[in-house]
Amino acid sequence: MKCEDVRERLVDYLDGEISPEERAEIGAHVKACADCAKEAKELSCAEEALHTLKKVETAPDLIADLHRRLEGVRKPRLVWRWAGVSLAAATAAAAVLLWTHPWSAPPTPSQQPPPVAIKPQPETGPAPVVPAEKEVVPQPSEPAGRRIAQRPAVKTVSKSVLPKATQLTVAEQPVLEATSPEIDAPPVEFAEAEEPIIRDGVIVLLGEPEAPAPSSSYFAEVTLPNGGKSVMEHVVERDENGQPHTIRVAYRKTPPQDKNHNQGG
Amino acid sequence: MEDRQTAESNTKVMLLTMNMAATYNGDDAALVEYARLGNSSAFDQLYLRHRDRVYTLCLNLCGNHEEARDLLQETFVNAWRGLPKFAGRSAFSTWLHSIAVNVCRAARRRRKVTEPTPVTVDDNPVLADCVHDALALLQPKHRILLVLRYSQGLSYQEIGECLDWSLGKVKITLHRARLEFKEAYKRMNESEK
Repeated sequence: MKCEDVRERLVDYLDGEISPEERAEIGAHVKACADCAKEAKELSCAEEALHTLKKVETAPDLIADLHRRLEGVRKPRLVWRWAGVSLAAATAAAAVLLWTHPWSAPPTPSQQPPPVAIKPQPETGPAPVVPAEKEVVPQPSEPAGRRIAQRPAVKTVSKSVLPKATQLTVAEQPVLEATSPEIDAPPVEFAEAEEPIIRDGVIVLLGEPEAPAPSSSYFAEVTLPNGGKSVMEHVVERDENGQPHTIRVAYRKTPPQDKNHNQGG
Repeated sequence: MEDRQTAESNTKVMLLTMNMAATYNGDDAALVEYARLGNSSAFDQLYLRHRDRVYTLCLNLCGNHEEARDLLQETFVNAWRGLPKFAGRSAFSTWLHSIAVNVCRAARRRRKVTEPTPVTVDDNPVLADCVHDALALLQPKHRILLVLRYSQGLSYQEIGECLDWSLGKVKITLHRARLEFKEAYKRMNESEK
């Protein structure tokens, strides 16, 4: 056996992960070859040294700190997860939605998204989603002027084909205040999109249920650059084959913390 | 609406039961299930069970107690966030290890970005002995492998699950890691003499 071959097998030799015949052969070579013996000794020393690595170090008591860190994190649930993972992306997308009027341009045929309807959620209404065909009504609580002008009118990209029963299901989805983590739907696995897909200024998909459900809906609360909050709801309606046929995004914007910041219009 | 109220009520009862159940010495799987549903006391128990090992892992990978504390917490925050994704295909501890490794990798990347000079062995107060000095010289993936194997005592299979590697890749890379460590350890010993 050549030195090269022996050295290649030395780690396995020390581990005892070779056949008895090979072991005997390598053992004989190591006894006879000073260089390989030195190599084997060094390996063995290094191996022993690795075994001195700390096995268990007592961690400091940091549970109170962990609780503090988790305060800003919602409980692991569908709504939370979507919001948590895509918060940055959603914030950026929301900024696009709210400040650049991107949907003023009609969709080109090549960019035609899945049927999408957008509607700002009326503040007085319990459900954030309304039938797609309806006309946009600005939120009554919002100050007139700049903010209304900033928020684009709802645009129905295509006609919703939601059956009435499905709409009722969606309507039962709680608004954010009602989404108590303890009263949540069972967790649903979502494949996350790394970036929001924006077509014609509409957030089309931020995540897809891995196990397609007939209807799924989730919320995200995003913080806008001006400090305001926007609650967005994303509803995916699927056909029998699990293919989304209607995707709707509804949002409601709440005033920023710093009112002066937002009253300029 | 009535159905919804009934569902909410049932959920509350279920969660109360879980709170009680989670105070018993259940296994990880049960605690994980409770935690997945938002039971924070179950998650606390998981934290208490695993924090020492996660802390050790972070300490061995970053070499700094202060940073290790931060990485430990970040690992559990990420675990809390990621619980709905945890499908239970691997053990919870293995999954936690994979999160911790990713957190440590990210921290290392951040450090590279924020610090103009790379962290040297001497900058590390904890990596005082030759073993840690030698580990610090290794390729990151080799260091991670050796720590998972020798400090955390993970099997090849568990390492594969943790890093999402095949068994063959784990074996080959571990082999190379040991050879690299041998050379680094030798250099450290020689420089100390």
